[in-house]
Amino acid sequence: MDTATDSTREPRTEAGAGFAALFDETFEAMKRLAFLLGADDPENISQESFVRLHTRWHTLASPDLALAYLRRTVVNLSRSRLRHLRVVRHAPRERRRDADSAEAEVLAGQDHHRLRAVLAGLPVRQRQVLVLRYWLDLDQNAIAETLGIAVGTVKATTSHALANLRKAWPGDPRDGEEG
Amino acid sequence: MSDIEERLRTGLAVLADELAPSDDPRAELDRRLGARRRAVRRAPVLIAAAAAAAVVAVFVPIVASQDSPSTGVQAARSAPAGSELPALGTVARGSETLRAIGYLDADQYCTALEHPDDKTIRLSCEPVPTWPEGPAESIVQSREVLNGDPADDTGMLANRLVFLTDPRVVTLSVRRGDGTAVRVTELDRNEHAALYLGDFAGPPDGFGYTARGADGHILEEAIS
Repeated sequence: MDTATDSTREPRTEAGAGFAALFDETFEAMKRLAFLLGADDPENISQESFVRLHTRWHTLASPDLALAYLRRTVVNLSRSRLRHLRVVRHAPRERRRDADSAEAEVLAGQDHHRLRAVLAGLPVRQRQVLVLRYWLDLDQNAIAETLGIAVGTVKATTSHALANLRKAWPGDPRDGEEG
Repeated sequence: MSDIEERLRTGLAVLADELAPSDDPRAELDRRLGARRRAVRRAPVLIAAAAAAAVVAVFVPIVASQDSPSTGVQAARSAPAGSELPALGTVARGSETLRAIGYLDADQYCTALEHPDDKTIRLSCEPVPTWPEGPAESIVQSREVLNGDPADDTGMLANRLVFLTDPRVVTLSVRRGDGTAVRVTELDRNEHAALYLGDFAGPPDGFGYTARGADGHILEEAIS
């Protein structure tokens, strides 16, 4: 009897149908959340977040808390990867620097690609509040809970982030183009 | 809603849609959950085998030093004491002190918290990266201990980082932002990866590292 196969065919019996439904409904959204937060391996982060949720499912006071746990895990795992990226991108590799520079010039022509670069330049916390507020549509209380900070801090961080965004992403890039 | 907010909302939606839907993510989830369950079942065996591994560990640096006489021992293999698996640190939970462990299980990097009675209370595994052949991608990856779980990353663990590297890396030296050396310990190694622990003795904000191969040449170097 192949117990390994059995275990992989029925892995969600402990967590039940609620977990399976949540996975089907939100896996792609959690992957995109990790991507927008700057993770270089969003698929892996989304998968790992669901594995952790599965492990802790029985400890949740209510299944309604599962999505909040999931969001927190994705944010925290993405933060871990950001630290790695900051280091590697400063590595003394001339070839990489040239490639990055050329890529940046090409990307600068499109607004949403400019946004990607602008987001990468924001402090991590500012990027997090912008993504949670304007992509995930979370209110300030939910953002505070996700990031483990006070609501007042969310308000202040959002304000600073938008101010930085206005400076670094000033209007439609097509305004300066010919034709 | 202001213009910048509208643009941001639209821009984030466009960026998010750049990611293609995953191909059968439930199959991958099943694989991971199955691997985790098998690892949990195997954990007591691993713990029992650790004493034997300690004997092997004594000989590993000796053999390695014969192969690479030019390299200094900057990351010595820690020999597990007694029945211990490689420790990442300890976490206080109420009146208990839990031990965080990290180890390689084939192509998985696993972490767990142990009760004082050696019972694993949480175990998480992730695939080790597929290391690139060329220099365009990194062969050293850092992780917060227990992967950034805020409930765990306090105290001692907040001052440490885990480094997963290509197994070609045999010596890893890490520096703080001010250039001073970080204490690095090699925790585990197999054909898929090497696992190191860096103890910064303070918040690891800004650091650099040098990864060397068996002949002492630099495989990768990075600064923050």
